[in-house]
Amino acid sequence: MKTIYIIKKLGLLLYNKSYNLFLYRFDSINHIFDFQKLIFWNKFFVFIVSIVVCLCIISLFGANILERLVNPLKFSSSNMVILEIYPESNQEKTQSKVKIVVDYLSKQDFIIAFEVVSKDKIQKMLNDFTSDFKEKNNDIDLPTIISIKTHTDSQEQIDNLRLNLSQKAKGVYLDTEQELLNRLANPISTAKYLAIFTPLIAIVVFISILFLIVYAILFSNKETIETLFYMGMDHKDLFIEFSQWIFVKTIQATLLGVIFGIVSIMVFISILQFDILILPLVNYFVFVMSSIIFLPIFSSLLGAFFVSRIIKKSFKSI
Amino acid sequence: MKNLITFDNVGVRYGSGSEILKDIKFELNSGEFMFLTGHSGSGKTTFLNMINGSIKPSRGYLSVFDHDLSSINHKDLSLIRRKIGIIFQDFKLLNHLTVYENIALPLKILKLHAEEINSRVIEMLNWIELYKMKNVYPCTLSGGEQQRVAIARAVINNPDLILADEPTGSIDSAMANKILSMIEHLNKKGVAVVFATHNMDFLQNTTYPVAFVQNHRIQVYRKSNSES
Ligand SMILES: Nc1ncnc2c1ncn2[C@@H]1O[C@H](COP(=O)(O)OP(=O)(O)O)[C@@H](O)[C@H]1O
Ligand SMILES: [Mg+2]
Repeated sequence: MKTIYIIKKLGLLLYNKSYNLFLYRFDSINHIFDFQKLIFWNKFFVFIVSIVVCLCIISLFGANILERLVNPLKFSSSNMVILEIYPESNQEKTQSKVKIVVDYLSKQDFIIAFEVVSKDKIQKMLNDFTSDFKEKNNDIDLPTIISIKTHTDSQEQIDNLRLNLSQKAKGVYLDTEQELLNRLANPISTAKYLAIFTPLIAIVVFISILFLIVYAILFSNKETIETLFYMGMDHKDLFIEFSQWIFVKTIQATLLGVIFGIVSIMVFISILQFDILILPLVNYFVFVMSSIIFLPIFSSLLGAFFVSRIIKKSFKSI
Repeated sequence: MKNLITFDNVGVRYGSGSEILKDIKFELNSGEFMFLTGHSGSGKTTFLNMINGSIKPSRGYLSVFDHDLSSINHKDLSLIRRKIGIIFQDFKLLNHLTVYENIALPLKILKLHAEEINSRVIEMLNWIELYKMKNVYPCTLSGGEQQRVAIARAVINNPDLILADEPTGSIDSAMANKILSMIEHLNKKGVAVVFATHNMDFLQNTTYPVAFVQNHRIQVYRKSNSES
């Protein structure tokens, strides 16, 4: 309890100190507008924007991790199909079934090559899993396994093949690694949507927050602004003051968000024991740098636009 | 002499109401001092607000500093306003700023250097005899003191025209006389003044022209030796 209290106090102290030392100087608007009244909005803006940036980074990270996990499968899955033929009650029947299938396969154009995996090889593979397999199950009939290399990885053709084979003979199963991918498709597409929609939602949230804060500042300083207009302040001056202020606030928020984001990714990595090298660090660098550069520019321009709209609509003395 | 303000057949109304002022013909030359009077609610403040461009005439021609105010853009309007010092009826001092900062505002708008702002504000503070109060917030000042701060703020950027809206409305007569003489002092240096007031002492003994707002119209009375 006491540690949390101390950490809280320290954080607040640090924030206020850095605000007084570093940021206040940039807020030229502070000297005219009553930002004392707006401490809440100030912090609210920085808080929300940094969270938004942080969430973007985390979702990018999540999408990346999934993408990376799935990618190796994708590479190996290209054009490889496994066919399993289950044994019949006697050897003869099984062999004729295998022959029908092999005949059929050899007539297909899109199949480059296929190979009946030898019983020894299967035995060996199984032995790798269970050392005493041979002793116990020597008399069990193993399924015939045919590995097929195809020209196409078109799902339609594979499905067709599967259908035709099942009509030709019973107990024939076509197993593609595509199946596995299909089962993974949901998380992958979720990750993709996450990677696309998080920034979209983030932008919407960001724009609304920006509008809200500009609105709040303008209206809690309505009298001040009207008086300044009476004294001959130019609209442009007001826009510039606001853009500068928003610029500084957004830089502050973006930096905070980036730090939060990186720290939480580090925590994920250490918890999930990921190899850090599987992350495309360049992507993060580009994302972080572009948000640090473009977000403040974008927000200050948009903020100035909002100011001009609101001023035109609801301020007198102009 | 140059015309600073020209009203020609101007009418004004708030929203879709009836005309508060109609058929105004009015001229003010540079360097001229004029009283503006009329009973409360007659439209004095409305008239002054038309001159500073915050209320647009609903008809007629109104020009201030050779700009037609019905078709003026923001930039020109702000340039005109820098040449007008307004003393508001309700002062419009900013309560989150000190006396010093309030007086400095017009110079900050002009983006002058800090040293120049400082020397001029101190000069002003001495002129209104409130130097000791420079770091005080306006809400703790008396009515007369606030009035003087408002005057200092209105004149610090050396305007060519002062619009004073009942600057002696809420103070005793000794202070009222003092404020009138402060503004007359500026007028002697060539600043044109429109001085809205109810103060009968001022109006009875004056040699300045007096504009009466009555029955929605404005009539200017001048002492016999000058033109009507
Ligand atoms: N913003 C406004 N909207 C509607 N009517 C107004 C507004 N301001 C003033 N008025 C009306 O205009 C008339 C003149 O007001 P004002 O110019 O303030 O008079 P004065 O300054 O001479 O006391 C009054 O009848 C007042 O009710
Ligand atoms: Mg009035």
